[in-house]
Amino acid sequence: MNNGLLDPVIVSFVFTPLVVSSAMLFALWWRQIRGLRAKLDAPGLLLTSAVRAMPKARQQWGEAMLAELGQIHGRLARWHFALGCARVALFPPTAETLLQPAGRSPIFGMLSVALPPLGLPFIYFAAALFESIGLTSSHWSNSEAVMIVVKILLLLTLGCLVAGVPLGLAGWLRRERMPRLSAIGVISSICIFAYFLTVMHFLSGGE
Amino acid sequence: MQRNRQPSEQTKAVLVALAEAPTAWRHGYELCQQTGLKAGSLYPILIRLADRGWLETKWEEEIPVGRPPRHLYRLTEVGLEQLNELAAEKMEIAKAKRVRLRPQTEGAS
Repeated sequence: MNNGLLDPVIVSFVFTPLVVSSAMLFALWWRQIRGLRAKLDAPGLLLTSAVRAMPKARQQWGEAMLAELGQIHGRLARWHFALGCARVALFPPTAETLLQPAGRSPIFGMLSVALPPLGLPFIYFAAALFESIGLTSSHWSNSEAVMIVVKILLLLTLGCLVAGVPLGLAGWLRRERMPRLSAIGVISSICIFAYFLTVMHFLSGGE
Repeated sequence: MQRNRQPSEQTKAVLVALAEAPTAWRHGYELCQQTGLKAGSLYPILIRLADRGWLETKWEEEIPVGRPPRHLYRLTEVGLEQLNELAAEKMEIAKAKRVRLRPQTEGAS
């Protein structure tokens, strides 16, 4: 593993899914807010996007937050207000007097999108941590405890890579809002896992 | 089903802030500043209070040109009654604590 972690091939292998996923999500969002980009600043764009994802029964609260943001001056104050409100818009309190309005908060959908691209960076940083405390691959086979930790980390990584499929399906079954997120999560998880298998196949000499 | 829970300290702070001028309509950001709560804490409280019928909401009617109408809030009669009940309960508890503490204090002196 010496210097292996800084090898450009390894670095690009590990971070490509994260970079590609982030870029695609950003491009989708950028396209969605195309009409608003000239009118609003970044906090306004963030809050408008979050408010669009609110259930219909809560929309007036989203409009209220946007109107209030319009009265706040100062970049920091606007960011604080917009971030707090965006959290409420994405995860509004469940209705006490109304029936569940239009789908649940997209928790599973968000996790299905977020976890798969984080799988490889997770194991990469775990390996970097091992290296920084002086544990190299030659020590691994000598220590049963370290081998158990390594196996757990590998299982967690594989779990992250494929987690998008069950999480996305769970989001869809729960009838979460923003169903596109669940679909993106399932597709990206399959793509990232296929990418992982392909690269591993080549790295192992294509046998 | 309506839950009958004791409001949190933050909810009480919002209720007290609204009760300071019970007939006046208040803005969200103004309440943030008065209570020291962040928007992410204030709005869920306002939403829950409105769901329970403790809070009345309306949109601003006289809107200056160039900005959207703001959402306004004030306590309903029910909200004021609930706040008074909470205040009475708090006084009862404080009184009971004083009664419990008195023999110990007297014994110590």
